[in-house]
Amino acid sequence: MMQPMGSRKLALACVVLAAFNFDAAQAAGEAPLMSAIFADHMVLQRDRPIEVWGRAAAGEQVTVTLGNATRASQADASGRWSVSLPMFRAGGPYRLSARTASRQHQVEDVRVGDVWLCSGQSNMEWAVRNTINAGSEVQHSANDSIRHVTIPRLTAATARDEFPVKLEWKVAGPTTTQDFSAVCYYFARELQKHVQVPQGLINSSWGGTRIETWLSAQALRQLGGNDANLDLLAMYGANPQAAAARWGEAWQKWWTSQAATKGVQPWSEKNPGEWQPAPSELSAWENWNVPALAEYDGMMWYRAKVKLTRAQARQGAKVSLGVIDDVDLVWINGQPVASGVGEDARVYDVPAKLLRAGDNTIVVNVFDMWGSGGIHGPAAQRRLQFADGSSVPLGAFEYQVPPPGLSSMPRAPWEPYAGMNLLYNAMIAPLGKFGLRGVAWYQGEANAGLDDALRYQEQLQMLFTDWRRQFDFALPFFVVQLANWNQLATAPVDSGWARLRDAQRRAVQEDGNAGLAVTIDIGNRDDIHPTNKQDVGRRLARAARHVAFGEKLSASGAAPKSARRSTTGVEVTLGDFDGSLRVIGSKDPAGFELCGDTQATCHYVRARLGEGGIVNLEDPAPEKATRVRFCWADAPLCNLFDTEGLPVGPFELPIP
Amino acid sequence: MLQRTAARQAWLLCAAILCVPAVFAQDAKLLHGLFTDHMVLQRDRPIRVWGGASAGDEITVTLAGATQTTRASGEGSWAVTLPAMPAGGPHTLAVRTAGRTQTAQDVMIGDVWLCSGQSNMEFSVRGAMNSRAEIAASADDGLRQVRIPRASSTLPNGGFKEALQWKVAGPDTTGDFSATCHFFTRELRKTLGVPQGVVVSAWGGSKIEPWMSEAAIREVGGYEAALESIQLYRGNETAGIGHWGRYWQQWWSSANEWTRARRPWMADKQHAAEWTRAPAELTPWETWGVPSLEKYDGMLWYRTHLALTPAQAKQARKSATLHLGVIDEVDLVFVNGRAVGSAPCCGERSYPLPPDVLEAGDNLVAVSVLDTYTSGGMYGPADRRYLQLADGTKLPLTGWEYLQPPGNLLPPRAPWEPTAGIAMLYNAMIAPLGQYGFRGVVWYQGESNTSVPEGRRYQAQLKGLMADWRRQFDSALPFLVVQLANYGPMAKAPVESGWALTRDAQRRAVEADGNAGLAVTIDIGNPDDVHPTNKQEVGRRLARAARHVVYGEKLSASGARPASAQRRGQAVAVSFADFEPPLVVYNSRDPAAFELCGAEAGTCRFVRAELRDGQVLLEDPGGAAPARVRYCWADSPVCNLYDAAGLPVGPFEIAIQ
Repeated sequence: MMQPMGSRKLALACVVLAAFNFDAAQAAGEAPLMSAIFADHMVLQRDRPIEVWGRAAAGEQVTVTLGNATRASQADASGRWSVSLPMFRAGGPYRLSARTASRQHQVEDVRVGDVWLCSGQSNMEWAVRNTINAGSEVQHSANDSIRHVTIPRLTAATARDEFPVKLEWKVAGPTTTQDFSAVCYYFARELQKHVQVPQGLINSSWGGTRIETWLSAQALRQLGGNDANLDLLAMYGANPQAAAARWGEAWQKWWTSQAATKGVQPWSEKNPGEWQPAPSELSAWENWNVPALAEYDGMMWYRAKVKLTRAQARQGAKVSLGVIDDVDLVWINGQPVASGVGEDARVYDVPAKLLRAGDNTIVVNVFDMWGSGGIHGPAAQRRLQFADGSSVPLGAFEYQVPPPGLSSMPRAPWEPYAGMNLLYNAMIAPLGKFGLRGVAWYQGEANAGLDDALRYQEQLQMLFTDWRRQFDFALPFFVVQLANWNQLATAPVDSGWARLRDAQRRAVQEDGNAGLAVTIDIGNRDDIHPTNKQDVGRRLARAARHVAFGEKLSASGAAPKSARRSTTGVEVTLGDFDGSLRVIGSKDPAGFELCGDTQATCHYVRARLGEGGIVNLEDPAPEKATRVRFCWADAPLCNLFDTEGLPVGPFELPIP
Repeated sequence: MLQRTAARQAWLLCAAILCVPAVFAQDAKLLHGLFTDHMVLQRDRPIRVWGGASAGDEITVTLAGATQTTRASGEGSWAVTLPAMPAGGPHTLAVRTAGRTQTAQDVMIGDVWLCSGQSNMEFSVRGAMNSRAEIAASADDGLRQVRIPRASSTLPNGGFKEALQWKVAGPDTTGDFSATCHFFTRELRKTLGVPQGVVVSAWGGSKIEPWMSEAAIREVGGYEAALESIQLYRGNETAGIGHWGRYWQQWWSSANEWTRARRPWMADKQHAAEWTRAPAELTPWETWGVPSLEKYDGMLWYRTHLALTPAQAKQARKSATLHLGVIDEVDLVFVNGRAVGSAPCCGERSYPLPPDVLEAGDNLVAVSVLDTYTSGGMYGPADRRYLQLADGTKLPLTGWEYLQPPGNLLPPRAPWEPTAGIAMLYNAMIAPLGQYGFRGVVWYQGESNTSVPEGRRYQAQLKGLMADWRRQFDSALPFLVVQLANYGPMAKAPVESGWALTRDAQRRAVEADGNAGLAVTIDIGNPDDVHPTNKQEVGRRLARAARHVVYGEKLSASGARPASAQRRGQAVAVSFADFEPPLVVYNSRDPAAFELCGAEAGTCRFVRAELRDGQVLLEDPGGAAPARVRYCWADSPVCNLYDAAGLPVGPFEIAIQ
């Protein structure tokens, strides 16, 4: 698993997913009138009508006041209400209040300015405290006009219209800024030098997550290929047990289709395979002193037996398995019954009539993505609990390591990292029609496999469309292109990271209302979380000044325009930059390749920087070249910049 | 031995006379502060153990079955030498006198490293990349560190004022370990297995001069005035400051045309109009709203006038103390043209004035403030700046004016500044380590010696430091030097870079030494952060250098180094040595970042380079006849030439034969 912190935090999500009963609280009239995002110190979007919404008793009259503006609305039969306040110019502080005949809800210290939604994976979550020079940055960060709210990590099987938790807007200062999204904060801080209005930041991000989970069900259906998983997830929302059973059947189909398993079905009684006793104190399997497991990440089978009396078998029951790290699928007496993810203690309902008097078998398949793995936690947690309050401990556990050579395991659509629309449902949908000036998006590391990356341009464009449907058809997007990370290349390579960067570049370029922040020069090849988020923020702000505020400056530095063959090679034209291009610390630009149709034909070429954005590539056989590549590797070393200090980002360009 | 003179003598002298009674009598410890629980002692060589007791006490020391006895000297100091021991443990080190026993438990025998330098050596695992996982998985009984607390002294100390604690690597401790040396020793453990002890003696922002003994400073030369000043200062601070002030004024008068024409410490009518009124509420100058000061690091003058009545002047002759509040970072204070105060960063300043410096009528207080990093100046509440007279009268100092000298002045640094003076850290953080057994030294320093003139001096200084420390510890002590990483602006044209000079000085000092190794880090820094977080790779490269230099393994220590540059027709051929073949270019056809230079400054130009048969051929585009080759020569260069082991070719300048 790429994300060191990821799996631990999954636990939180699962707890919330399982325990959420917010609607009940709402219905009882205990919750505040206005939706959770409307909270003290918030920022509202200037220069456009301001949507405010919430819940009250069905049919109740709600009056909303902001400054001198007042609007009234009536709650519908489900208690939902909304008003549209008139436009405000930048300013504040204001009080925002909603009241009914019996209740009042006040939000203090409200500013009107520009509001940004910042989303993505760990590099967007990355807190100011972990960036370069953090101590001084935090100490000097007091700014009443920059405010930030973190949407907690949440998942939901269906789209929500409310957050099940209280949200807190924080004003930038020495005690708060350290927890802000660094990219988002540095972006706003830079932007404020040019756009002197209050800046509101909504940080809705989650480390290690794929783009699919940030798309709505509608968008995923439009993309195609996701229907079965979407249906299963919808079923999970309504009836997790039925969904797990169906998922288990699909999973069994995958398992039995694998030649490597040689017919072994560890959950069955017919051909259960070779089981070995596990240590009696189950700990993470890395600690079992089994050399092959000392650093093992992947799949493991567990089995335990439990003897029941007739009376026990007849009762309603839950199976408690303790902590499982990370993903599990559980069979009882050969039937798949439950599936979960996270590191929290698992307690699942046992379907009726499945338990029997005498021997019962419980089999668990565990998939560990990163770090320690397995069923662990106190032995007392591993038991069957009955409706009458009694319980029976599960017997000694056995284990079985799956054979090598399995294809990648299908992943349940309710996994927050690898699943469908879970984060969109819980972390984006509830923002409703909240007024935004734009979106900053820093995601893609989890989609940078060679094949995954080929789908990314379409997915990212769909995300633009999807979120614009929700918020505003004119919503600008600012995309952080992935930074340099991982392998250096001594020969031309194909790289999922390079493909993904190019997909980001193309998605932005084709959009017309988006900007790219190139970061190919400020990553760290040994660290997927580069600490220089200040420059990321500066470059995002530059893109925003051009795209959102119409300033006449280049948004992202030089972009490739065209390539054509010449007698001595290929001439590449770059455009959209300010000033001129220059090579840093060398005579000629590094990192150029010419390719024919296959990867094997790619070769490095000499490049010379000409005038006006022309780069001449020397090649003895230009007629064979059909593509130009620049800066094409996981962690390329590139030295072509413009006089504004912006690097020319990676690209692949066809030669017509 | 004739050579083992000054440093050793100073240390012995101090241990015997000055410091031992103070240190040992107070806390009544028998063992020197280094010898505590969880320590690591150097294997395979006689083990020196020392401490204090009552004069004449009989001392018995035992360790792992070996026993030595001795008698405490008349001053109460003692030392024994135990026989060499192989790696192992845990052992107990015990010292007994007739009435007392002290033990150090869980003592391991293995290899011990002295890790010194500035902030990148101090930099803890907690701040390194992936630190949470690194710390959580760090438990290893064979990796131990002790931090020497920051301390400075004008004379060599024999012991440490604060108690030292050796820590065993684990989830609760490793976060505070020096990252560079933790990852270095962790890597070594993979090939050696034996316990690794690390003594971290480092201080952020320190120059090399304070880490050298006065004897070494004298040998290297160039600091004669500072040596005289500190000698005076030891007897009488005011006299030392006065001496230093006169030297400083000489420097000022020859620094450049602009300074030569001015004496900011005097009332100078001719240039009075150049002074500007400072804000009444003095805050860091960056916050004054003055564009030229907004991001200014450098020198700023402050001055104000103070009128004294004849009665007040009479009081002042009895006693007068000048209070200036906080000064960030370094000050030199003049009253009526005489230097009266100077103190290191960054507390409140109070200087007793010589009796004859204040006069009835007008008096001028002028303060030169040097700030080298972020906020700077004389600041804090106005009521902290006043003159206090013998009778308790407080006369407020208000109405400050300021003057910003043009350009980038590099004033000489007061010899008593802990991190910029001379011998101040050697005296308090190295000398007290006495004859502790070390396998080698890891040195990560130089960021604070990267002005162009300092870069030119650095090779001789580093050579002097290596000789100095070998005199103290062991004449065969290996040094492992971390070459400075890429940091600072990227250059679009050939530049004279102090960082490049210091890196080249590090390379040359190591190459000339024969018992030293270099860890090149030009590719793993961060142009925007002087504290790169990838200390894991620094540790790996140091370990590689150690395997070659210290343990004699047959592998290249540091990656390719330049062997020669020769004319070949119109081209120049650069060949390399000591690398794992072949050389490779990452991500491009040709190596980037080569320059050809004439003999004169300002004649460098970027040239095309081609890697052919293990040599780099440089195409001379014409210009001044090539006399030198430079590679990767800038604060933050982008370089792409490596060897097959994945080690970058580091920055260099070499002459063309």
